[in-house]
Amino acid sequence: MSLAADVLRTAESLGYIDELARSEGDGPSSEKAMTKIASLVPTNHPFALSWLTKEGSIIEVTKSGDQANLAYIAIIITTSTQITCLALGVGG
Amino acid sequence: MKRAYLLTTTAIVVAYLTILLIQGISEEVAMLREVAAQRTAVTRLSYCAEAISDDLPRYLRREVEREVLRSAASGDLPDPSKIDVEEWRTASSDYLTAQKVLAELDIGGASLSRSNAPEGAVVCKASLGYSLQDQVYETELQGEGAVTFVVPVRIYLMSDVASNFRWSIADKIKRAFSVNGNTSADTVRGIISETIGEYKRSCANMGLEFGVDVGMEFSSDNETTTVFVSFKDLRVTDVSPSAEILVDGKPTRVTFRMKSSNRTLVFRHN
Repeated sequence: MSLAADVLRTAESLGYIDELARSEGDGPSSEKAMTKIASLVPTNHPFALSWLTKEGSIIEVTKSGDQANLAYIAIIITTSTQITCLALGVGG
Repeated sequence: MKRAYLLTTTAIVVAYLTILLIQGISEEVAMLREVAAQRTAVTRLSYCAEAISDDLPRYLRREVEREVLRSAASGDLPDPSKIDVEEWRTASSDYLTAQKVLAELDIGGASLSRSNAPEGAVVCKASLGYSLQDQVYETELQGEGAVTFVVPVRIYLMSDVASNFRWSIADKIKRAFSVNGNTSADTVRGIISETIGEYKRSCANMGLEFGVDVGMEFSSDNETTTVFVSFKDLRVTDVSPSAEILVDGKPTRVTFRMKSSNRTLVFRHN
């Protein structure tokens, strides 16, 4: 949990979360912001990064490695149209 | 016989002490695990607190931008009572509950005021108090923080410009008649178009776009001259690079639109 939390905390401090919030509705930009956040996960750690609406519909997903045993943390992100959730799971 | 008895007793004592030792160690390990789990829970709570504290300004900014756009379209200044925080409070509580965190959130009403930098923009101030409880380990975290940010749309300045323009036209016409009681319609038209030009130029220097349709009717008899001035579509747009806001994901400029109004000026001939 702490690794995922650290990644999202760093992403927030670097402005990547704001960038993601502003990119809503613009596929290439949100993909770019998701890639930036995912790049903060240490190499060789499997991860899943999902951006979801409040109702649980997927907006963007990016993942890598074995998805079987990931520890998740989620944060709330308000965009210009809705309140969304960004969940990051990182494996050991 | 005596030796065998001593050996058996020693073995029993050693075995008993070993069991006690193992039990003690495992209790200690369990206790350490519990402490570590509680520490993780506290870390999780502090992370949750940080996450909501980071998102509240994002949410409020969106709401303030919407209110600035709405009020500017109707020629009003932004109204803080229109900033609704309930949607965010509900969503945040739901999101925290899903992470097994019971949350009590107290969001102090957002206040809106005039900013000095940029001059005439909007400052939003609010407060967030929270009490978070981990539903598994029952650890608690309480805290509060202030939220302050600027929405760089200069709505107060735009409102000033729009109000001053109407006042300025009326004042210049009054001055012309105080100097010359027989001021002609052409002179009044000249004053109006000159003032529009002045406002367009000074607004352009401030990164504002100024536009207006001014109608004028002029009637005169032996005793009085009546000047009827109508202001239609008086609009001021903030075109500075930082004043672009996102509305439904689209970059949008804010235009302050004054309601149509008329002014009747009556001058008695000397």
